[in-house]
This record gives sequence, structure tokens and C-alpha cells, in this order.
Amino acid sequence: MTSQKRIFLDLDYCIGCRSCEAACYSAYGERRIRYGDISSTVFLPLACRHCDEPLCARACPFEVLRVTPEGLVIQASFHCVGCRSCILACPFGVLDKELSWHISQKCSLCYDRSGNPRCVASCPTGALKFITEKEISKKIVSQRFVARSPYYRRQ
Amino acid sequence: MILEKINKTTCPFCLYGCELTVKEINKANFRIRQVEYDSLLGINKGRLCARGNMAVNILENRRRAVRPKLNGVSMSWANALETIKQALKKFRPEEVAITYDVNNTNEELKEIYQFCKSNNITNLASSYLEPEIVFRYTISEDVKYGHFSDLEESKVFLIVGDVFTKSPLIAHPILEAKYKDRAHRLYYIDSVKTRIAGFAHKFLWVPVSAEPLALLAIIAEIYKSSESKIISEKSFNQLRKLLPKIYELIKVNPEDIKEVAQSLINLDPGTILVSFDYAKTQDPLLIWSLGQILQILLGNNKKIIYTALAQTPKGLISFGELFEKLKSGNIKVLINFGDIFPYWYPQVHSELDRLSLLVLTSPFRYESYNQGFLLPTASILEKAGTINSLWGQSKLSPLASPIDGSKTTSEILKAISEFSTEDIEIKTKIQLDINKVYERALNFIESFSCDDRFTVIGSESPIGYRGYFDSEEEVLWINSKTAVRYQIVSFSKIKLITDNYENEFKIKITDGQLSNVGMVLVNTPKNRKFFKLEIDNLTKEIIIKPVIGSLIF
Ligand code: SF4
Ligand code: SF4
Ligand code: SF4
Repeated sequence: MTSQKRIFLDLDYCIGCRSCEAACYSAYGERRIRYGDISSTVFLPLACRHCDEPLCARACPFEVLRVTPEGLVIQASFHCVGCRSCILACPFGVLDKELSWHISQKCSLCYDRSGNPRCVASCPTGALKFITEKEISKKIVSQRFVARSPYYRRQ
Repeated sequence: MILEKINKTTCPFCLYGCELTVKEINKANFRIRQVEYDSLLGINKGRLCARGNMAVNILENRRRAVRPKLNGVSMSWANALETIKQALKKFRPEEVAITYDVNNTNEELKEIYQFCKSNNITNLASSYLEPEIVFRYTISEDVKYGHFSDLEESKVFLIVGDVFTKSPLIAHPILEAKYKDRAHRLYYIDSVKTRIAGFAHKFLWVPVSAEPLALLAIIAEIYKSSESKIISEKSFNQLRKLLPKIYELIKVNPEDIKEVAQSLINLDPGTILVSFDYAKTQDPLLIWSLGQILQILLGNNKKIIYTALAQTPKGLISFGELFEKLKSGNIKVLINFGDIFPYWYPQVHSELDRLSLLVLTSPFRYESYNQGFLLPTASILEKAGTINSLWGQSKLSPLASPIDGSKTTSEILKAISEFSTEDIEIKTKIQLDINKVYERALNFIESFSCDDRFTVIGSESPIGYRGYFDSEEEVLWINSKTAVRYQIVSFSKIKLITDNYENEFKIKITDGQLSNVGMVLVNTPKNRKFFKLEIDNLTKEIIIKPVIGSLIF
């Protein structure tokens, strides 16, 4: 995945406006990135990592979720039966537990678009970045956030 | 997939004035509209907040009104307009009131004014009752309002209230400035500690409604170094004597206030930003006026900016005056041009029920009220014209043609009465007497008390805008100390009771609340019922204050 671009979140900039979620919702009617609660007091946008070895795909009994040659983990939605196995399997909890039209809501990095995925393009502060792993290691990301208490909610 | 059209307009959902692009695609003969993000365009560089992102959902919403209704029963346009026209003739101009809220272009507002002038109607008021109306008032012509470039260049920011909820895009230049180097300073005054507060170098966490006191303390600290004489020496001495009392009331370390004051004096240029939520603070007018005084004292290198969802001019009278007339029964007819009134203000429903003729216009059907006529109008996204933004006037061009079955404000006006189209100037700023403001500030210090009782405040989330997008949970936010104090064992069902309304809530714990304070999201008409409409004695505008409530299992 080192050369593939992924969505990274820089919490130093995230204001919790949920625009990323709205952008996804406006295009797909789904919350493939969602501003989720980790606990009752910690909230942050949860974006799919498109893992090298995706547990969601491993868990899917019908092989609906697949890894493309470009490294995207995508879903052939017509075959999804809504069993929620992927939702339980994702170690990052990014998949919304609510189904949309009886299928799970899975990020596809907006492959219909050239350039940034919609959530990244829409983020008002630039907290979401679409960069490669190499680039992220060069950036100082969320460093200041760690110094602050993460326990501030945004409604 | 064939790209058919790209439509560009200014996002009308707050005063920030983002450029909004929607493209139309033809996919197997279906027209699909999609919001587009072009990083080269506009002040927002293609970025949008949740409301801007919802543009397509608003255009194609299933709750769009498409048939005129009377008391919830559908009727034809011709029938509705003729009935209203005939009914109007039976009343004297003094018995008729015209109001407007959001969803109007400047040109449409002008026509509403012209309509009233031609028909001798003097009861013309803005029915947009959010605390943002105080931004119409200015204490002096010398107040310097900031521009986008001031945000980018500022070295010091003083933020009062949750500005990022109203215009999330404002966060970008502020955070960029903050992270540019260590010399920049970001200060924040609020009674709720949100994630945004965590960005601040210093967060002045004041009791509910105590923001004016923090501002007065800062004013007292910087007065000596200012050349402006907007406050007289005598008034300042009065204020200085009260300073110990202010510090005692706001429970903020005096050293912190001094630091903020020093940075405001030393760092140039700077910006003061002000914003208000519904029912979050007692006296928005005072906060706004003190912010302006602070700006003048700090000089021209500091600017002031407000963020708001909309700005409507006052009309010929304030809504408070109109409300009194409604209560006394002197008004028999009310016609509103807009979107949210009276659906989002359940407190006025009983007055409206008594009217002989009530005509409401809106692009949407709301469940919260179905009395009178509902005339479906075009959404502001479907209109051409100009709207006000923080940076001046912006041009609107329609993202789509008005939805079938709706009519524009102008068409409705012309159908119900004739009017002349001579030019009319609409005043957007109203001058306040600074002495009255000062008097109000002194009274505020005298009468402010930190109540021991449970206080309920309102808060708005950027995504729960007018009930779209999100199905809002009924949640009450309290802190852990409050939970212990009320011995809350279950987070699921708790009844919140105020003088006006009661409802069941789910409890959520947050350390961003003060003890003994509960916060409800006011993105639903239901939650707005907890709070009372009061009339401000200085401006006769409506104010909606936090209320005392109680919790019962
Ligand atoms: S759009 Fe950006 S700032 Fe807003 S919640 Fe998402 S990541 Fe955070
Ligand atoms: S859904 Fe979870 S497991 Fe699957 S690719 Fe995304 S982050 Fe990995
Ligand atoms: S910040 Fe304001 S103008 Fe920009 S997209 Fe959001 S509501 Fe529209």
C-alpha cells in the first residue's frame, strides 16, 4: 500500500463539522465515512483504511468484498445479503452498523472521481488528506491533538 | 454517463458565501445531480460544510411542498390565491401583518417592502427570530468589520461562542493562521467546551450567559492603553470598581484575562469573532455590543466578524412589537414569506391560531404546524438574484428551475394585490445608543447570579440543519458531576421539564458541560419548545434565553 493513496485524518484540524459524512451521504445516500462515537465522549470521522489484508473481506461469507489489483477493497453490492459479518470484523470499526437498503455501507474511495474522494475534497479545514503512506510519515499529523485532551465532543 | 450541465451559485445557507457547484449527469436517461468540489474555485476552494453538501438533497427532498394547502387539505393554486385575494379586501391595513424570514433574495425582499408601501401596511417585520438578529445593531459608524483577508493575516483571534457551527469554513483560515507559527494566539470565550475550544491557547470557560462579563473584564484591562474615547473616563472608573465582582462571578483566573488583553494589545492585526446559538446565552445584544466596543478600543488593526446562517433586515417594526399586537388581537391577517416561520417557533402557534387569515409560504412541508394556507415556493437554490454574505453581496444563479407546483414570492405578491415598483432602500444596519448599552452592561453585572438550579441551554449542530440529513436523537448532554448529583443510573430515559414543555431524553455524558447545566440540540422544532420567547426592552426584538428546568426519572 506504500504507493497507494489513502484517506488520513489530521486531528489537529478536525472541527467535527461532519461535512465529510454529509459529502458521502449526498453522493451515495450512505455514511461510508461517518463521524462516529468511539465512546460516549470521543467522536471522530472514521475512514476505511483499505487494508492490505482486509478482515472485512475475509469475514464476508459470499466474497462480496474484494481487493482490486490497485489495492482498493470494494464491494459488489448486488451480492451483499446484509449479514453484517464485515461490520463485526473490521478492526477499526469504520463500517456503520446500520445497513443501507439491506447492504453494508462500504467506502470505495470514490473511484468514479479523478482526484480526491468527496469527503476529502469537501473537508472545510483540510483535516482529511488523500496521501500515500510515504507522505504521511513525512508529515507531523495530529501531534498537537495528542497534547490536547481528546475528550472534547462536538455534539 | 453524460455530463449535461454544471451549475454554479453561492451557497445561501450561511453568510460565508461559499461557491457551490452542482453538476447534472445523464445516466441511462436518468438525471442525476451531484455536488462537485473544484479545488480552484471560490473563497472555499471547493470545500463545503454539511449544509452546502446537502444542496441536492434539498432540491430533491421528498418533503418539498408542491400543492397549496388550507389547514392541511390540498387545493388548487387558482383557488388558493383567489380566496386570499378576496379575504384580504375585508381587512384594514392596520389589521394586516407581513413578515419574512430566510429563503428570500434581496430583490424579493424589496418587492415585499414595495407591496407593503403600496397597500399602506406598516406591520412589516422580520420573523427570523434567531439570536443572530442582533447583528443588525451597531453601536457606532466607526466599527470596522473584517474581511476574508483579515482572517488570513490575523495574529490574534478572540472568539465568542461557537463560530464554527455557523460557518464551518471559517475554521480553515483560523487554524492555518494558528499553526503557521508559535506567535499566533487563539482565544475563546464560551460556556460550553467543545472540541473547537481545544484548539484555543486559552479557553475562558465562563458560566452560562456570563460572556458579557468576560468581555467587560477584557475591556477594563485594555482601556488604559487605548486612544479611543468611546467609553468615558467616568464610566471606566465605574467599571473598574466592579472588576473584583466580575472576576468573582465569572470564575476565570484574572491572570488569563490579563494575558488575553495583553495579546490583543500587542499582536497585530487581529480579529474578534462572534456567534450565537438559539437559547445558549441570555443577552446576545450585549455580547455583540461589547465586542464592537472592544474592537473600537483596540483600534483599526483589529476587525470584528460575525457568523450567522442568515441576516434579515428589521422591517418597519420589530417582531416583538408585532408579537404584542398579535397577542392583543389587533392583527387579523398574517402573511409570511420565507421558510422556517412559524414551524421552528412553536411558541407563536397559539397566537397564529386565532387569526382570521394566515398565509404561510415555504418550499417544505413541515409536520410541526398545519394551520392556515401553505403556499409552496421555490427554494432559494432555485432562484436568481443577490444575497448578502459576510464579504458583501453575492450573486445567486439557480441550480435548477423551481420545482413543479411552486410559485415565486413575486408571483404570489402580484396575484394577491397590485403594488408599485418604485425603488425603496432597505436599511440593514440600525444604530444603538452607546449609553444605553453601557447602562445595560452595568445592570447586567448587578443582576447576574450563578443559579444553583438546573439550567437548560440550546445548541445547534452544523449537520442537523432544519431537520434534514440526520434523524436527531433526543439527547440531553450533561457532565458527570451532574449525573452523580441527580443519581442518574440509566442513560436511556429521563424526563426534562421546563415551564414551557416536557419531554423524554437519552442522557449523554460530556466533560464539555458545566455542572448543573443540560444542553439540548435545538435542531428540531420540538426541542425549541423548552424555551420562551421574550421581548427585549431596548430593541423590542425577540430574545430566547436559557431556562431553569428539572430532571425526573
Ligand atoms: S469534514 Fe473534516 S473537519 Fe469536518 S468532521 Fe470531517 S474530517 Fe473533521
Ligand atoms: S472496512 Fe475495515 S477491515 Fe475492511 S478494508 Fe476498511 S478498514 Fe480494513
Ligand atoms: S460554510 Fe456556509 S456558505 Fe459554506 S457551505 Fe457551509 S453553509 Fe454554505
